Amino acid sequence: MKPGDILREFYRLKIGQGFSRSAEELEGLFLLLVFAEFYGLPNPLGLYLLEAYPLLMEEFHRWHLRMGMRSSPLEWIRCC
Amino acid sequence: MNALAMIFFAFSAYAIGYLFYSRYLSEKVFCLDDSRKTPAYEFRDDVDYVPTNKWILLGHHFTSITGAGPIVGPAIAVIWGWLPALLWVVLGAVVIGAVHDFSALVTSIRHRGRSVGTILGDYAGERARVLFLLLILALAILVNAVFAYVIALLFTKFPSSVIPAWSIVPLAVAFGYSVYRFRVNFLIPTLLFLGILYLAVFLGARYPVSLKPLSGALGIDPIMFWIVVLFIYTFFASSLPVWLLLQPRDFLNGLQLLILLFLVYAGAVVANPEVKAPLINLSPEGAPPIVPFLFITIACGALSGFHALVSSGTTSKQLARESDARTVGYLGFLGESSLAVAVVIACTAGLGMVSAQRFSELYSSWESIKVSPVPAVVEGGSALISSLGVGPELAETLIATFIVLFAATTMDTSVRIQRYIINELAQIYSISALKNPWTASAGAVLSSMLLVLAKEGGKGGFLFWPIFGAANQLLAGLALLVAFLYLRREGRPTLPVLLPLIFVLVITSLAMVLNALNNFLAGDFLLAGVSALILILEVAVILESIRAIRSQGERRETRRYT
Repeated sequence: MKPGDILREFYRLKIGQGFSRSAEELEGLFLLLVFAEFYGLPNPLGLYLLEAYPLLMEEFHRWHLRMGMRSSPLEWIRCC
Repeated sequence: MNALAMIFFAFSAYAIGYLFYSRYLSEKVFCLDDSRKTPAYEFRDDVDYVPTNKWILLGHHFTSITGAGPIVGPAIAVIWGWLPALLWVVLGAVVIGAVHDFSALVTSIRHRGRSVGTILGDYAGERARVLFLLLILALAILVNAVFAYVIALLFTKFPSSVIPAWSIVPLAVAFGYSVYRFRVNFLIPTLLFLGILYLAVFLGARYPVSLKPLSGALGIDPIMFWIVVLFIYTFFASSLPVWLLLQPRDFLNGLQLLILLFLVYAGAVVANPEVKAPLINLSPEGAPPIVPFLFITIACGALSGFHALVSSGTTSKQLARESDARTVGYLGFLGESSLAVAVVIACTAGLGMVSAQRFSELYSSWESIKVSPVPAVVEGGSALISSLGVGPELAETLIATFIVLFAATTMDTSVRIQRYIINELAQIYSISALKNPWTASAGAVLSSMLLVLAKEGGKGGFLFWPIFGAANQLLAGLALLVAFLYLRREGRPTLPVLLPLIFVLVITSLAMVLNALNNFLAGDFLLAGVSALILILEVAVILESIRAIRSQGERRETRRYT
């Protein structure tokens, strides 16, 4: 491993996590808005967002893991 | 005796401990198995759970557990002579401290990477978890009181450290942001920012910032002034997002720690000074008895409960294979212990380089040590580094700055921890006023500040040190209890964690009883009260341990007969 790579890993462990977590919080809020109807909240944008769902699949997978669900809570999204 | 012999002894013991004892723990006690999936793979999310190369994880773990703690304790404890301090730091680390860190890490990976506090709640009930939170809260309050005093003292005694110590604030923010934002190569910005930091050290040595004229004109004690400034700073710093200031600071600090260890050990090897301090001194003037006080004066470096938070909080989520726990958990602690050994060398052999009488001047009595331990490390350590060709003033500024940086980062972290715990306790007991992060922060900062200022106008910060050590070891006792309950459930040998657990409980109880009594008789009700509080927590820990062990035994019995 080169010194730069070691420092990159070190940076990821020390600082990168903090940045990623705060980015995740924003992302989580966004996904909550997009998937609002699954929590029983009316989502006026639902219809228009249908085509965005495939694009959000990967983020959705990470999100449900973060929310403590080990497999996808939605039947029609089989991300894992 | 010379410094090389001390280094040889310490590292031989570490090697034996790592090669043989940690292998026994891994293979026969915890039965580490690389075919089991670790949480890093099982819950991989590329943020918290990431399988990481064990040597890099070792670097991260080692630099996260090591702060100013192993610097202050040994610097006080050498008053009983260098041999007891060295023996406790080295042997305590090999058979107790490293075992604690290692077992906390393994217990956590076997419980889906969860923290020791949560696992304790599962095994011993909600009350034990609240006890765990209260102990951490006490620890954080005490650590802030001591470290604020350490930093204020260093700023006053070594005014050259003021500029470099404060310059880390803008440097850390700029470093973290620029590397994240521009995704530049890591080597160049790291070297650049370290270069600027050392330039600040050089500037600091040329332009010391002394508050003497200001304090003379306004009649304010400089130590008091710095303590108040530090708490105001910590209040705001700990309210910022972690990635903005704390984590970049931590990154730069981690590198500083490696540099500091390298410099001090290289200096000790090159100069190989004779130790000019007593081998053993059982009754220094005004000092409490060596047993049990040596064992709680040196907590970090020989055994520290705070490490369980790191082991089970972040490191366990990054471990790629179970067998890596041996390197990361066990060896990581030996790394911290090696810093404590470096401090023992600096305060005995290093001070001998300043002058033959320097040790006896600084360590003449327990009273004088109240103000001298950290400056003694700076003096001794800079004498060692000077043998590498660094100018004495620069060496002094460098070491004082290192210590201030470690202590300040610890303060920031511990105010955050206090805030989380106050919030959590406020949730449990529905106290709405303390659920707000700002009031919780204010509560955290004020409680520590009152503690340190109430004691001889801020000059008695070190008086809380032994109490801090006791609280820290009690916390370690809880982590050892969790490991014990786990091993017992699995039907494995429990003695390697049970004996340290009993030792910790006996030593801390004895020390807190003596401390409370002595201070009460001396009319110092604040210290007596704080010791008594820790003693109450201690009794609660012992009762909870017995209850948890008995109820686990009953469950096993029931299982056998049904």
